[in-house]
Amino acid sequence: MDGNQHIMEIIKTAPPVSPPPDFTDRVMARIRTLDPSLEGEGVQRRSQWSPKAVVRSLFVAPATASECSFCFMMAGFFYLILGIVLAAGLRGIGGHLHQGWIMHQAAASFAVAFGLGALGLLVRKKSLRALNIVRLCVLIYCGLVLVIGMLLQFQTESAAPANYPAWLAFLAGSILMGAFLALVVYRYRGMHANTVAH
Amino acid sequence: MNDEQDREIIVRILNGDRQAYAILVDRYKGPVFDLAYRMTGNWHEAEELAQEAFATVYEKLRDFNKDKRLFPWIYTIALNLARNHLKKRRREAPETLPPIYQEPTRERPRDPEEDTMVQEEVNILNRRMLRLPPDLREAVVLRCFHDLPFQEVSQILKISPAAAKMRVYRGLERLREGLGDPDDSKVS
Repeated sequence: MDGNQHIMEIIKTAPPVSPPPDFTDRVMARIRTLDPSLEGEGVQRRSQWSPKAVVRSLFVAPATASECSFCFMMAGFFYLILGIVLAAGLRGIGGHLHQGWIMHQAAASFAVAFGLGALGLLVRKKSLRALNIVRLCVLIYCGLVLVIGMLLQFQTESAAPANYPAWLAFLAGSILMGAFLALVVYRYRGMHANTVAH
Repeated sequence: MNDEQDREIIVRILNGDRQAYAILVDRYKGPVFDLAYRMTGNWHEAEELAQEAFATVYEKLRDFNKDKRLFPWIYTIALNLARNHLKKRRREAPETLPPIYQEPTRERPRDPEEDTMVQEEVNILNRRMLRLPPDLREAVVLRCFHDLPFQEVSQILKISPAAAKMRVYRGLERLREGLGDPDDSKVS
């Protein structure tokens, strides 16, 4: 390797590149947001399952990409089941409801299930751009829930006696799910900002 | 870098002393960051990759074989992340040329009396480094920049020592050819 001696000399003169002074602090901040899978024994971990800890882990603590993705997947799974139930159940309903938005609910549920699953996969990309897309999609989802809820109500009012409790339960459930997903994205976004933004 | 100390720290972390991980980060952040920087040529990407590497090491610490040395394992993880990052970058911008080597903004200030000729050669070398294929680049970084023995380079790259020597040799050959390339002096 004698012919490369000159190159080696240049390499020796190249100064090493050092990380920023707060690098260790930033890594440790990131570590603190990870799932504490390395900590403690079984007893110690079980003791963390107090109601307060559960509420904190669900609504306050930063979420990892896996947790965030899992929530979207589960929401998608819920809509998949809902779609199957609707597809099977709506066929048996009398002819006066066989019109408009109501008959499209099964297809809409499948579409939402697919969309939420795709968002769950997108979150795993761990990029800020992907997160922004997910956040926008969650907002669109919340908007669509409201619009579809209203349309459903008008359709059923014109075709059958209104069932307000059922309608409110459907609407509130869907909006709460949207709010929960938005919160999960926010929690993950916060974590992402803490660790990546400079 | 004392292997025995590393093992003691790992045991402390696995027993719940999470703060002890800061000692490991402090110990290895320099070479890991340097590796990430020389693979990507970009300060911010290197910082993100190095952070990701240490987070991955922490997550996988339970799987680490304590009979082995920690340092090559951390290097392997950092290199895998860098490879994936470079692949992703190529997929996202396949038409673009390799990025220009960016001088770190927080590097120590240069000595004004430093030989400008040598400095220019270092700059050209850095740019040529980024034009090397990643497999040659990583071998040159480990062997020549980080001064690791071939045995360790081969262990980290998961190739035979002979193959590691070959990669380093080919990498240096390409760098040497490129030092006379007039294109390099045009790019600043």
